Amino acid sequence: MMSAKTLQLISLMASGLVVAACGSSGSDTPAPPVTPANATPVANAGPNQSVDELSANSLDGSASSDADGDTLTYSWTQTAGPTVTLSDNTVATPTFDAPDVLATATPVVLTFQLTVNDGLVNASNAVDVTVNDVGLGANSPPTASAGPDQAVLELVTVTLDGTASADPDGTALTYAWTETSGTGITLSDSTAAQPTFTSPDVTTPVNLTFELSVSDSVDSATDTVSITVSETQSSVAVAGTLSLEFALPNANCRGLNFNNLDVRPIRAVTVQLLDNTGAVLDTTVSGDDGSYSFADVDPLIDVRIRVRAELIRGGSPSWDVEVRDNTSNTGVPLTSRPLYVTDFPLFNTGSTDIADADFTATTGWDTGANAYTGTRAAAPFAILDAVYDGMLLVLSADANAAFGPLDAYWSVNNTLTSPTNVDAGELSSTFYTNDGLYMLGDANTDTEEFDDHVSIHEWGHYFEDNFSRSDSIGGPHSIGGTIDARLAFGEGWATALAAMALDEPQYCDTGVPGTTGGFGIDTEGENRGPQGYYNEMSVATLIYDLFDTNNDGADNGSIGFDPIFSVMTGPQRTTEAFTTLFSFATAMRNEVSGADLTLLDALLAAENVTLPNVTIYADNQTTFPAGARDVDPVYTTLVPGSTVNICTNSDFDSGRDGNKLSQHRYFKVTTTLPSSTYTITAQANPIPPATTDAPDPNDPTLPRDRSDPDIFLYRDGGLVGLFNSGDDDVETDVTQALPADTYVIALQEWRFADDDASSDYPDQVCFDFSMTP
Amino acid sequence: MINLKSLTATLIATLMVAACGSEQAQQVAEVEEVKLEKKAPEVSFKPSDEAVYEGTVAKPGAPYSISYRIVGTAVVGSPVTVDLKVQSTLGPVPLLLAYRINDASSMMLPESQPADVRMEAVANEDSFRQQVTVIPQREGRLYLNVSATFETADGTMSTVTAIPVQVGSGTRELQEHGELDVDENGETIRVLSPE
Repeated sequence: MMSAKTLQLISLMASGLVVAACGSSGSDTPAPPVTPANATPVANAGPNQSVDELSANSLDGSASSDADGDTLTYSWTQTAGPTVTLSDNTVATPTFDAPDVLATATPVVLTFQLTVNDGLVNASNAVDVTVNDVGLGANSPPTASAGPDQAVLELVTVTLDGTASADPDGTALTYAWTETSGTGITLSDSTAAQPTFTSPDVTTPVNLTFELSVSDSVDSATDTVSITVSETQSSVAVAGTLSLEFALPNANCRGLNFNNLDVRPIRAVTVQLLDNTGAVLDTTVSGDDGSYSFADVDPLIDVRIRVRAELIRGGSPSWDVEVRDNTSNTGVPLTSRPLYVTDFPLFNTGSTDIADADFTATTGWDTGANAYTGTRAAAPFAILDAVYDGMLLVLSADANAAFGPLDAYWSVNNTLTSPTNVDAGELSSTFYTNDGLYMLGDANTDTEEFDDHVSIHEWGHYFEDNFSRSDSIGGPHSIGGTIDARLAFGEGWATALAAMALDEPQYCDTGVPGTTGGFGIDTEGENRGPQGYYNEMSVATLIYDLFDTNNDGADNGSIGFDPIFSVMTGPQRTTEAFTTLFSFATAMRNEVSGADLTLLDALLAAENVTLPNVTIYADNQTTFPAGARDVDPVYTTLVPGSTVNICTNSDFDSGRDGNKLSQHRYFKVTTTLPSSTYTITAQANPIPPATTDAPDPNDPTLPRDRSDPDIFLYRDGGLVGLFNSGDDDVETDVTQALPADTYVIALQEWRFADDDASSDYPDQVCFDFSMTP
Repeated sequence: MINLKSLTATLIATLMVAACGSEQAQQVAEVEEVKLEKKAPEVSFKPSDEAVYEGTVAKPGAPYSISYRIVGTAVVGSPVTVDLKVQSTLGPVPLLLAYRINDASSMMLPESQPADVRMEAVANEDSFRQQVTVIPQREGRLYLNVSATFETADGTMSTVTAIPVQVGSGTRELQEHGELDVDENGETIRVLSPE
């Protein structure tokens, strides 16, 4: 059957065909017939609904309409919610069954969209159907949660917690707690969600296990919880390891490499346990692995670890080394200046022993900024670490060594400058005196804390003071220089000691941190300058090659440290001559034999020592370097009452340091009178010619151009006469009463060491020298 | 002015005395040892040329040293000249001197003063001499840092020395590092706490 809409369309088409056949015929052409417009239908999916789960329901689109009266077609689709099946999605009122929903999931909303069509256009409308849980359908089982496992102390109230249990249907749960293993605990209420109990009195840790069963009256679920009960400690132990960051040098000692930190144990230092008020609770000493421990510490208190920059040990062996700030509290003696300490962060002791309270003293260096931006806490301990290495070497030879007190002074203010003013942090070098070890720390010029060879080198001078002897006259000296024999031995010994203590021949002295500044010395192979008793590296190489196990050149063996220590603390300490390579070599040749002696002689020969008749007075030694003036003999034998003419010169002293070879001439004098005074005289002969320089502009009154001999008289290393009057061209004095013995004398032309000397002062001065009873 | 002779004599004697242990003292008990005041082993550089240097920096074993003197008296606002002498045992290698003033409020280099100077070695000379001029900006103990870099065959080798310039009567401004405190025994301590 043809619909009305179809008939209307056919009518419109027929009219059009008529018009087209007549053409345009003027104003009297009749108007075309009016075509009625199609009205859009209205879709109505019915009102929103609220229905029960599992109930039979229907949708109602019957209120949809079309103004033209056209017949509508229906199309239902579900756009949201759990999918349901419609009885017929093309009818106005399809039916469906509501789904089973859970209480925990409500509300559940089903959304349907109705689309109607009048044959030409669509119209849509949606309806929501909310499905409510009414307790119908299948039960969903609950889940049980007995709470997390717990570690508790004895005799405390413990709460079990099942409140995290749940039922998907929202059904109220019942609880049932039972102890499945343990000591027979009585719960406050075994059916409560959070029952409590008192933990049992135990002597060893006890484990309790509880099972929780929950039920929604249909289904049930279980879970277990473990409670470990420990004895309440009246005290706990606190232990850990202390470390420091140590910056290693770059290749060839050109600067420090802060990207290559060596984390080392802080050894043998004083460690304190402080409470949060700063009160000291206990004190101990760290082990050689950096470990420390404190017993009987109160539980549950806040404490911190303080590490003092000091090595202190009583008994045998014994030592006392402290690192202090020389630039603070300058109104008090140096030994009372501030001691460095490092305080690590507070922590709580808890209720059980702590074994990992580990802390590290950091460098304070910021690699990004290439500068120190933090606290340089590692520095004092790095210095102590080097000193301790030196001490361990000594202890390897003498397990009961008694190290005299030593203060090391370090500060970030200790800058490399001159002259020295320790209060102001102005140091002309890192150096040792018999009142301390002074270390550079100014990052703008030079720092020493990570230059462990330098630290031990200076400590080597401390060793001489405390275990051996040094007759060194000090003063500037450079590698390759030809220097006074006493200075050469002292410096060579110190460099060798550093290499032996660290078992590392490369002596590093780095410069400004963050730069490539610095220099290195190969203790094993450095041979700059003429080799001999006047070259500090000859001494260093000889001693290190005796010690080390690496074979090179004339070094084809090792005697270890013990014989070296024995000589340094024995004959080298008591020698009646000066402490030089000759006194050392003489004693060492008496100390060793066989292959060791062969090795020693080979090494001595390599340093131009004439063998085999080596004596403390260098008898029969030839002059080195060849052609040098006023070198031989090393010691001149002076007979009391006689006069010898002897010369000094400044040939090896381009800077008038006054400490070079041939500037101090040595005498050996043996007296036979039981006790007598002596007139000791050095008379310039010939008298040096007058100088022609203009007076010093800073002080024209200074004596500038006359000879000024000085005389130093020693007995067994002790100074028993110092004669330095300042008289022109002569020094003559009377000694105290001297017993019969052998004495040594050093004669110096002071003008060679005089800041104010005229530039044309002669480079050689000779003296008639005598010592007359 | 310091009596250098007496200082050096004292130093030498001191080193000797310090070297003597009690054992030795007993052995020579019948002879009185010379006892002198303990002094630090000041490194006093003693040049033989026309300049009298006020100070020398020479680290143990270092193949170089730097000496200086301030010419005249330094005053605020006026240029002051510093004579420098750099010695080395490195042989005839070039030297680069660089002048740095860390505290910009203390001194300045005049415009005519280059901050870096390269010097070639002179045959048969083991030292370099140079002058540098600074202008103090305030009173105090101020520092000119002189960096000396030697261009050796094995690469560069450098050292930095602080040249003190005393302007007026001020003292050095010291840096605080850590915190001062007093321990349980009343001893002053400096606390360095890692950050």
